[in-house]
Amino acid sequence: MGMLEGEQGFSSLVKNLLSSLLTLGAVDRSKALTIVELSKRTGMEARCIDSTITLLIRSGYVASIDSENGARFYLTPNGILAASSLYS
Amino acid sequence: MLSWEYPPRIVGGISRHVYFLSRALASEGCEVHVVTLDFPGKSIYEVEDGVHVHRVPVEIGASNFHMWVALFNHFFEKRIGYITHNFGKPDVVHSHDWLTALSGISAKHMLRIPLVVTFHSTERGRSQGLANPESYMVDSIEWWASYEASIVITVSSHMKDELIRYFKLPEDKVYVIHNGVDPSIFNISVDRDSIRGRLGVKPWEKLIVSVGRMSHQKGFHILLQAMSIVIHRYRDVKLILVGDGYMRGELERQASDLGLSEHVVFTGFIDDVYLKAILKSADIMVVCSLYEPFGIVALEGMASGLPVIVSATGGLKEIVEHEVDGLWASPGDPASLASCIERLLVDADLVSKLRFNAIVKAKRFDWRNIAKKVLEAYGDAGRRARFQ
Repeated sequence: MGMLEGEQGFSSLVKNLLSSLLTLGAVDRSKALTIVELSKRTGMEARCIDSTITLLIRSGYVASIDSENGARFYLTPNGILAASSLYS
Repeated sequence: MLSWEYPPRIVGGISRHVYFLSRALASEGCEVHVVTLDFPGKSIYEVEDGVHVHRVPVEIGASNFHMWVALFNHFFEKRIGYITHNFGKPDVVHSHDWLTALSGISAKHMLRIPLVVTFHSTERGRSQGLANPESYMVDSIEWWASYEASIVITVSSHMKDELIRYFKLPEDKVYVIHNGVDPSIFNISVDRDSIRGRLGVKPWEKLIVSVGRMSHQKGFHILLQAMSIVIHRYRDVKLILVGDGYMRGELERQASDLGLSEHVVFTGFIDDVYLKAILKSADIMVVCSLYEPFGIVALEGMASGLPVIVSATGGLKEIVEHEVDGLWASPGDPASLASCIERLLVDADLVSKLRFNAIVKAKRFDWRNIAKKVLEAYGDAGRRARFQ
C-alpha cells in the first residue's frame, strides 16, 4: 500500500485513476479498458497511467486481461470499494 | 429504498443500515425493493430474505464522479419504472443520502408518492466545511433533497441539530431514528485462539480493535499516536485496524515511524463473518472518529460484548454513556485516548461492568423497533406529502 501514497493518503494520480475506472464503468472483465482508451477518456498521459496501474495491480485493486488490442484493465471488488471510499 | 451501497458493496455505514432496515421492514409485512449499484458476481435482481434487491448497472461511463452520480440516478429511475410496471406503484420512496436524492425526487413527482430522505451525514460535516465547487454542489443537492422530502430522517439528535441549522428545516420535519444492531448475529462461538493466532496476537497480549474506512474523519492517526503512548507502559498490546481507504498507506507509514510495526496489524477489507470473529476475539474496541453522525461500529462492538472507547462527538455520545457502558475520550486527543485504553488494560472490574452494560444497551437498538418507527414515519410522510 505504501507505494500508492502521497502526502494526503493516495497520490492524486492513484485517486484519479481509481475514480476514473469506477466512473467509466471498468468494474468487471467485460468492461475492461486499455491504457489508450483510458488515456483518451481521462485526459491522463498514457505513460502515467501505465506506471500507476502497475502499482494498483500489485495492491490488488486492479486486474488485467489480455486482448487483441493489448492488456485491458478493470477494478477488482476491493478496487471498487477503495474507489468508492474516496467519496464517502 | 434507494442506496448507492448495499452488501457486498460496503463503503460506509449506509450499506449495513439499508441491509438490516430493509429486512426488518420485510419482516413487518412490507414489500421492500432496494435499488442499488451492481457488484461483480451478484445478480441484477434477486430476493434475499424477503427483500427484492435490484443491482443496477451503469451503462454509460462518466469522466468524473459527480457526472457518474447523475448517470446512475438516471439508471435508478429506469429501474423504478420497471418496478412500478412489474410490481405495482410503491407507496413511498426512501433515499439514503445525497447520492440517491435525485432519483428519489424524480420518483416522488413522476409517481406522486411521498419522498423520505435519510441523512447519514452531511457534506459540511464530512468535509469539515465547504472547501471546493464540488462540495458546494453536494451541499446544494442535500438542501434540495431536504426541501423536497415530506419528512427527513436522521440517525442522531446531533445530526438533527446539524440539519436544522444548515438547511433551515422546521423542527417537526426531522425525525431521529437511530441506527440499529441485531445482537443475535454476535451470539456466536468462535475459536478465539485460532483467530488471534491468525492475526499474530500472542496468547498473553491484549487485542484492541478499531473498524472503519481509512479516511481522516475516522481518526485512526489519533489512535496510532495514542498507541505510541500506551506501549511505553504496556508492551503486550496489539492493535488490529480493520478496513481500507485512501489513508491506509499514510497510516502504515505513521505506524512504522512511531515504532509500532510489531503492535499494529492492518487487515484491509474483510468479510462480515471474519469481522464478527475478530470482534468476539478482541478485548477492547476503539472508535475515535473526529466526526461521526452515528457510529454503527460502536454499537456492533457493544453487541458483541466489548468494552468500547469512543470519541465524545456526534452520535457516539448518544450511544455510549460515559463510565456506564463505555468510555469517552476527547476527540482528536491522543493522550485522552491513551488514558482510556490504559484504564481498560488494568481495571478488570471496570471492563466487566462496561461489557455487561454494553450488551444490555445494544438490545435497545433492535432493528425491529427501528422498523416500526420508520413505518410510522412513512405514514406521517404520506400525510405531509406535497407535489408542487
